[in-house]
Amino acid sequence: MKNLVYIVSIDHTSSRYKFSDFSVNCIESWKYWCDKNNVDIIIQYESDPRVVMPIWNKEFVFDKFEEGKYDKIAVVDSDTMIKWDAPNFFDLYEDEFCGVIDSANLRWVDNSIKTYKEYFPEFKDIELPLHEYINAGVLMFNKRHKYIFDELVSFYLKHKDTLDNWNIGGVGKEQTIFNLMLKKLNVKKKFLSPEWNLIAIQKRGMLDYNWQLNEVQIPFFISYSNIWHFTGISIENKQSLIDQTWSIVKHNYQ
Amino acid sequence: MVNSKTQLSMKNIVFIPFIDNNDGRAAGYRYSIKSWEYWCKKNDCELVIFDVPLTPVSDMKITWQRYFVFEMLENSDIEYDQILLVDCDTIIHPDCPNFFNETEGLYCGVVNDGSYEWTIRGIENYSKFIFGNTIPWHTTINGGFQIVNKSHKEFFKYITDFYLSNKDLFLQVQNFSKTGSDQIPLNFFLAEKNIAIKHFPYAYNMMEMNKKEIIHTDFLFTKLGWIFHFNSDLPKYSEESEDLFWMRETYNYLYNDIK
Repeated sequence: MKNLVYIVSIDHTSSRYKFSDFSVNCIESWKYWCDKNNVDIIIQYESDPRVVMPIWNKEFVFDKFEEGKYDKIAVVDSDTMIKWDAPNFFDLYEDEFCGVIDSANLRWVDNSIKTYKEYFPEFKDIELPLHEYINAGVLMFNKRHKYIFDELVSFYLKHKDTLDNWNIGGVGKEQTIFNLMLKKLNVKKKFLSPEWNLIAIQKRGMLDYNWQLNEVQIPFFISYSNIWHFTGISIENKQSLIDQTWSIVKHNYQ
Repeated sequence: MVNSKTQLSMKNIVFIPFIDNNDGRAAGYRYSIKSWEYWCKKNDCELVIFDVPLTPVSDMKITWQRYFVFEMLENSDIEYDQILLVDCDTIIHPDCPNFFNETEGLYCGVVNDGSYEWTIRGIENYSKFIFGNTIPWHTTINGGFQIVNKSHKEFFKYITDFYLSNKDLFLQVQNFSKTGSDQIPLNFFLAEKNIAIKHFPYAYNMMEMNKKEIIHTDFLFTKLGWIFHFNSDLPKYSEESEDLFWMRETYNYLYNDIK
C-alpha cells in the first residue's frame, strides 16, 4: 500500500499575498522527493466548498481519496521545502501520530491554548502541556487516524460561523485546535526531532554557517535539517527566503 | 572545597558550583542558592555548594571541575544517592516537583532548545579539533541541569581524565569556539560512551527564555515551568546587570510570601 503527501496551496481572497506564489518551488521539492521515494502526492489548489479559510482544508484530507487507499499520510504546509536527499520519513513511525514540538514562541503558544480553551467548551478541561504542543505544518500519521480528522471536521462545521469569522489575532487559526483535539482524544504521539519541521529558521540562527571554520558556506538549515518551514518571518521576507533557498538548492532536484 | 548545608544520611544531592570571582556576578547567584536551599529542605535533599576551586579556573573552568563531584562528595564524607548538577544562574520554583523521583536511574538532562547555530557551530569546532566524529545536534543536552547517580562515576572520571590529558587543546578550542566550556564536549562524551539519557521537558531547564518571548516583567515564565535558567540574552530593565536583576526579581516574586 502506498503512502501520501498532501499539500494545501489555496489563495485566500482576503490576502494581498498568494500562497500559490510562495509554494511553487516548495511544491517542486515535494514532487521530486515523492517521486524518488515512490510516494503519491496530492496538491489541493481549490478549496472545499464547505470551507472559507484555506487552512481548514487540511482537516478534510481523508475526503480526497478512497478510504484505505493509503497506509501512511503526511499533511504538510505549502511553505515547507523538503531536502532532496531526506530519508523516507514514513519509515520513522508505526501507529503514532507524529509532529515536531513548537517551542519557538512559548508566549504565543500559551496564549493560544488559553484563548481556544476559553472560547470552546469542548476544550475547557483539557490540560495540554507546552512540551506536547506540535506545529501543524508537518503532520505524519496513518489511515487509522481518520477518526481524528472526522472529529476535527465535525468541530469545524459545528463552529463554522465562529471559526470563519475568527478575528482574534496572535493565536493562530487551527493549529491549537488540532493540538487540543489530539489531547482530548488521548492520541498516542511521537515527537520527531526539529530536523523534520524546522520552524523559526532565522530565530534559531539556522541561516548562519560556521563563520569560524569558514569551510562550508551553506546555511545550517540546509545542511542539518530535512524539512524547512519558512515561518517566523514577515510575509515579504518569506518569499525572498524561499527564492534564495531555491537558488542554492535547485540543482539537486533535477 | 565543598560546603554541605546540613549533615545527612544518604540523600539526593543538589550540587551547585558557585565561585565568587569578585566580578559582581555572585550577587545574583546568591538568589539561586537561596531558592535551592528552600527546595532542598522541602524535598529532603542535600544542598552542596562547590565554592572553592580544586585547581585554578584558568586551567579548568569551574564547569569542568564539577565532574569531580563524586570525589568531592566522598572526600567530604557526604553520602549520596542521586546528584543534580545545576548551574548557579538558575532559580527553582518553590513548588517544583521532586524530579529525583522521575529519573528511572538514568542520566537526565534537558535538550538544548535555543540557538541551534551555537550548538552546531560548537559541534563542528570540537569535531574538527578534538573528537574527529560528529553527534546529532538536536539531542544535545544543556550542561546546566544534569542528574546522575553512582553508575556514572566512571563516566565522570573518563571526562576529567580526558580533559586533563588534553587540557591545552581544550583551552584553545574553548577560546576559539566561544561556545561555552564543557557542554559541547559533554555531549560528545555521552555519545561516545553510549550513555542512556532520559530527556526531561523544557520546564526543568528553561534556557534562553528571551528567545521564547516569555521573560518579561509579567513573570509569565514562572507559570510555564519549574527551573528558570538565566543564561542568555536577558532583557535589560535597569542599569544593573541583567542576571542580577532577573534573579533577584524572580526570587522575590516567587518567594516573597515564603521568606
